Amino acid sequence: MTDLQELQQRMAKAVMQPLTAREQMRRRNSAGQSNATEAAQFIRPNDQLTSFERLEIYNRQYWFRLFSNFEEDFPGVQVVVGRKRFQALMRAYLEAHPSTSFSLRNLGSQLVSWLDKNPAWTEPHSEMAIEMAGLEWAHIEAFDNAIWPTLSVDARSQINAESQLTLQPHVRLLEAHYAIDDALIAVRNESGSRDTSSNNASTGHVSKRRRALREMKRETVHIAVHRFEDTVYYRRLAAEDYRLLLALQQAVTLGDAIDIAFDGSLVPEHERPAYLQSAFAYWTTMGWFCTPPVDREGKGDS
Amino acid sequence: MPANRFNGFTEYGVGIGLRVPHYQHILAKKPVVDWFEIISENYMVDGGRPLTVLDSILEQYRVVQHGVSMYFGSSDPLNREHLKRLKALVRRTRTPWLSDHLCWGSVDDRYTHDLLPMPYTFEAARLTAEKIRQVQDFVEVPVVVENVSSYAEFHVSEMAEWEFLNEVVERADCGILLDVNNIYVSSQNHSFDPRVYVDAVPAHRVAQIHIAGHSKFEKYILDTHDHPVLDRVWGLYERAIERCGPTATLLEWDDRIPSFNEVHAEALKANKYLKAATTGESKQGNVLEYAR
Amino acid sequence: MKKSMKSIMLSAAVGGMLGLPAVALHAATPNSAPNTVSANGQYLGQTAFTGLSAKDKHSCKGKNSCKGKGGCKSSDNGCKGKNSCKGKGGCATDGSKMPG
Ligand SMILES: [Fe+2]
Repeated sequence: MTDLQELQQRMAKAVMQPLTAREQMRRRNSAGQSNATEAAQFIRPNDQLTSFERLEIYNRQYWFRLFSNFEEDFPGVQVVVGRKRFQALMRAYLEAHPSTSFSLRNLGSQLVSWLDKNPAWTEPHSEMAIEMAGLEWAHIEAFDNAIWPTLSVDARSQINAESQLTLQPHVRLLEAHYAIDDALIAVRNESGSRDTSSNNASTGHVSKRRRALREMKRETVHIAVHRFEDTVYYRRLAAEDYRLLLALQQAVTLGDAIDIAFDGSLVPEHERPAYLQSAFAYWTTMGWFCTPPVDREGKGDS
Repeated sequence: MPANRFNGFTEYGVGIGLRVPHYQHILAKKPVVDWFEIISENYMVDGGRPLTVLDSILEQYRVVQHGVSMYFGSSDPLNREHLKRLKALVRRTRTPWLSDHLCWGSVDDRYTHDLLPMPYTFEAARLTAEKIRQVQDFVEVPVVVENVSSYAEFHVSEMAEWEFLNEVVERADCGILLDVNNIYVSSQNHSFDPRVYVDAVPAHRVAQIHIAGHSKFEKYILDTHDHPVLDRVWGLYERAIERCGPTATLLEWDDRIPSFNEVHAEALKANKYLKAATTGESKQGNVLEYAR
Repeated sequence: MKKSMKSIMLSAAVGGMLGLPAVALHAATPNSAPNTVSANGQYLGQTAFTGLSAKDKHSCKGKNSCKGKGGCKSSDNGCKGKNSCKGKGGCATDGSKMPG
């Protein structure tokens, strides 16, 4: 290990350690050592600031930056669990999942699976919180995921029961047990019409919104989060559409996906062809079926 | 120097950072602006609105890429995926040069998203220069490095910051993005004379200059980019232009961003100094403002 | 499911993708019409085709995801909880703002 690497590991460890409740650098690190002693080992003090205080500037900056990005990405989860608990949840998540990407865009990529494994942070609203986190992450993906070339007429005319269709990477499919799409739009509309920096003034709105959210009746909804002309939309899907698209996304063949779609469906059998024709026409118009890059290089075809 | 091999022999004038709140104004009003600087990472995405807006801007304006996460000084090796995305963007923007910071910010694949200060050692200079060369070879445009604002210094440092900068750029044979606001901020935080720094920079390597605002706190100064440029920073800018000639200049405004016109007007104040350098005038009054 | 029904459904799906008229023999309604779903996802039949439909809700009027998230440029320690690296623009979902 080089001296440079050793110093950077040491400083990163200090900078990334959690803050105190008052958002200052902790007196002792996780190993129980004095942070003042540790900082003095590698940081020079000056006539204004001790080594500890200089390190603390970076420690605070690190967390404030992550907090503000995370808060911006998950306003819906914040409303579901409440502001105070969200703060605790956010800290715990970011400690468990520090950024491993050059872009802050990916900061929340592990939130859904982490919430799934750590329901204590969201109880008794875990289901709604996890689904909301899923929607908010899907939104981020739908916003700037790739759009691949749509399937050519030629490729479409060769489709048969064994074909595997590829959905655009920006199309994200969700099943939820509350109308989280409407709820998130309401949250965004409220926060969009306020100055988000004046948190205190908006507390009343937020708690009202939280009450409304928690009183939502349980109902199964299926949502496609997708991008159209650079804008993200939430589209309600029929259960049949959801099952079909999800199966296609999971590389199930078209023939099997159709079987899965109508398994237990209430759509009368004689209406199913028309149903399918309409659904596929719409998805094709929206450009949802595409050719992934590997196909363009000639390594396969749908 | 105004046009040199580090900025692709361009004469870009005075630009501002392209920021989201100004998109609508720029695309609708098409104001005359010499050039825009973009944060590369904001457009290193697979699709969507960021790239659509960028393409519209590129139809009408000259754009230069400025990165915030290459971390030349990190002991980690360069990230291949990051480089590939960066190069794709370079091809899209046709940026004549590419800048990022003389700093580190990640270790063992954990990212702090901060511009952390380097220990000013020969070992660090060697490694940093090597990585700059690797990036330059890969992206195939001139790479220039920017001095950062810092709030801490290390015991192990073997030289002053400007000596470290010189050591790195000589070894890498790369250009410099001289941020005179960062020099000022660091000079206050580490008690050195900012003029000594400006005077020590190899003028022929300066491809671009940054100006920005900062915030003063009781015991230190922070590089907040949320104010107009302070007089003392203009003073340093004037000195830098005297030494380097009329160099491509960019105003950074990243927080509490006012209207486009306000930001642009602040940036255009640089023209006074650039014109003076062109005509050979000097404004002694301002130059004296370096002193603390 | 009967083989013939399955192949009719498949033809209907492919026909939809190709924009063919009335492939499905049993189609009760015009085939260019999109399926309509109730709020709770019940299939309600078909309506006239209008491109993006009322089912496609503008997802965002606030700030999420409309900004550059690449990284931070300046310090943000000056004011507790404040951060300088985020874009401040809104989404364009209401058609009145340019986005990021
Ligand atoms: Fe800068």
